[in-house]
Amino acid sequence: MLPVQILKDNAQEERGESARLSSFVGAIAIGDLVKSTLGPKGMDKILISGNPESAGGIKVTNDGATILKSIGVDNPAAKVLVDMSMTQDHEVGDGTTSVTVLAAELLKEAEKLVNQRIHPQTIISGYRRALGIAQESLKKSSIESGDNIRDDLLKIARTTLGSKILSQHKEHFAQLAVDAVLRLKGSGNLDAIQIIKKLGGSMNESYLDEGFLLEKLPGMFQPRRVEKAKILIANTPMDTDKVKVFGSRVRVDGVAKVAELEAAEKLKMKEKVDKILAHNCNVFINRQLIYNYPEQLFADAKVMAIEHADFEGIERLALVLGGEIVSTFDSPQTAQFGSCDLIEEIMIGEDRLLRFSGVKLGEACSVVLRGATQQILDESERSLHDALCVLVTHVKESKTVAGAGASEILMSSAIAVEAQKVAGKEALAVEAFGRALAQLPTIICDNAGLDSAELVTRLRAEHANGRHNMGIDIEKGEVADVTKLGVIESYNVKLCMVSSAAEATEQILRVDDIIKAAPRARAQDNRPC
Amino acid sequence: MVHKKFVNLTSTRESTWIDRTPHPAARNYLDEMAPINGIRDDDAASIRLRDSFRDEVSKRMGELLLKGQTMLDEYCPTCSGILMEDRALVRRCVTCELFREKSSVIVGEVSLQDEDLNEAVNNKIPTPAAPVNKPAKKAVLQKSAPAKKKEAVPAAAEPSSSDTIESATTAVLQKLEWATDRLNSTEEVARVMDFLSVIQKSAETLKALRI
Repeated sequence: MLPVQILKDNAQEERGESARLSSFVGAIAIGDLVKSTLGPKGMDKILISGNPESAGGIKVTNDGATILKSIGVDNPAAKVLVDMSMTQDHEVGDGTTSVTVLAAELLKEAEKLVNQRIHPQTIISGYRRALGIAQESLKKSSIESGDNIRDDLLKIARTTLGSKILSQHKEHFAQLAVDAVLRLKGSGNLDAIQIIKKLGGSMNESYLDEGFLLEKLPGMFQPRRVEKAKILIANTPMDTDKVKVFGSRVRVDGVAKVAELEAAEKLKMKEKVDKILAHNCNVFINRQLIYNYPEQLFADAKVMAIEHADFEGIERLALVLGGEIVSTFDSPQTAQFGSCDLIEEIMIGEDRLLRFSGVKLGEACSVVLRGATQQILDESERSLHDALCVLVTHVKESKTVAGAGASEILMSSAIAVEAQKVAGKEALAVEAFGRALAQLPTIICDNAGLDSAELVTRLRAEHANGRHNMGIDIEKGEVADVTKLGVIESYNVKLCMVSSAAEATEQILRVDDIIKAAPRARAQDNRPC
Repeated sequence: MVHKKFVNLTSTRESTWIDRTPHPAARNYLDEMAPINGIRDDDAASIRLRDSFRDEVSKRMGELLLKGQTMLDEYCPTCSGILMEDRALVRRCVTCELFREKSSVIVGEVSLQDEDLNEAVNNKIPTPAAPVNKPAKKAVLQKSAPAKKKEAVPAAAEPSSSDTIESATTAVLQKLEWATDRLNSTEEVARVMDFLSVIQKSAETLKALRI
């Protein structure tokens, strides 16, 4: 029998021990990387990016997903962890660091078990069982928010913001976030909340504006304040209405013909503007540029024309003002206009913006962030966005659980008790899951400089005695009732975190063979960017 | 029946393909430092050692990742550890570096002990027989090497810095001197045979070190 080539050219295969074991250390390194940012006393990281243009090339951040997005990772197991963290960010917004750390701890325990010659499939089934137990116990301990949803939202916002740079002005920003989210009235559409960053001032000068802010100004000589606005939103070229075909040429046989061409273009533009004016709007917003001639025509007609609202802005404007984006102006009757009560110019810091108040979509609002440096502004935006995501998630399904490590120890104790009922080597895996969960509060204590061994064992004792609301009071450095302190988290966040971490770990454990496809042969990429 | 080799026109082209098949002679540092035999071996010391080594490796990798290095999907030929690559495209294996650091600590200690012994010999104080007392830390390297100088040699025989080799050479030379001394002074045949074997092993070791 002649040997047969199974893998394609340049594909490789890596089997067994080295495929699995080399993957653990990479994934564990990712967990160690973000460990020190966990908890209210967690520290931030500075990421220095390759391109120095964007904000000086420096990011200062506490958010796990942001850090993981920026590091260079080719290793497949580490990539699984990074993906998991980004999914957590996408789904819930917060808990990205916790999920990474939990997955890394689970892998550490799994590695110890593998070294003791336990089969990975046993470990996986043990972990699955433990996950089921954890989810059950978490569900049992969750409390419906019911009527005092505003209080709960405030507490959750405070917990989420407690580990970020905004924690100094926790109260202020928590109020801001809750106001913004409650305005959404359960729609969960975060696009309606616009975040505007303005350099200068200090963080507690940030505020929530009930109107909608646009960072553009009207054209020259146009009305700067419009009441009862009827708004037409368009995406049409208002520069010279010429033929936009690349490589087209127009050949004429005399200079007079050139002048005729120009006059014809001007006429075309005038007709276009006339068509627009036939709509009887008093505000015209265009996504593309509006050149001087049409701008002048609009000014003559006392219509406020706003140009170059960018792509994202246009979508948001259409949503908020209730209008439709049009590209042709042939039928004034069927066009859907946006409307708002008042459009005026306001000044923030040194910049002037337009403010739309009384917009059709009552849920819309803007948050203006101020800060001392660009990095602070960026980080504030990220933190606020995380908090808003968590709050929106909570509004959808409003159950809360205790924070400050209480839920983790609760799940860990429940698993430890149930593990004794499991027979066989699987029990070792179930216990290992419980131990990994108990590592999370340990790390939070370590980051705060507290005696983690003392506190965590005390916590475990409290939970074993049935007092399931006990967690860690970071300020005082002792075990306390955290629901009284007001440190609570949303049930969804915790559930998503535990499930994602367990699934990612299972996926990495199942690997025993890495087959790499050959990279597709490509021509050299000489593009500039 | 001759089988044609799998000659692929595409692979003969200059490609960036790196051989990732696991190296058969790859060392597993963890097993060398602290072997575990099944589930009953709950030896806390060896488990702690493995854990601390692995934690140290992942901590270093984490620091390097933050500095902007990339964690590659390629593995070191010596130990199958993950390689890190920095912006200047220089690759390094964190596991091997850490292992080298740990073992070079031990090499230093061995030579110091030998100097003590040498002094003791010169002061005509009766010294113990050839196997030197291991300090507790060296029990970690559970290699079944007969003499201490042998222990120093495998660690130093790796391509490490030249002063480790030098210190190992000094240690062996001292032992050689000491053994020759004792050979001259002893009368018992058994002891003579012992010292002769010590001298022979030292000579071999010195030859290995010179390479």
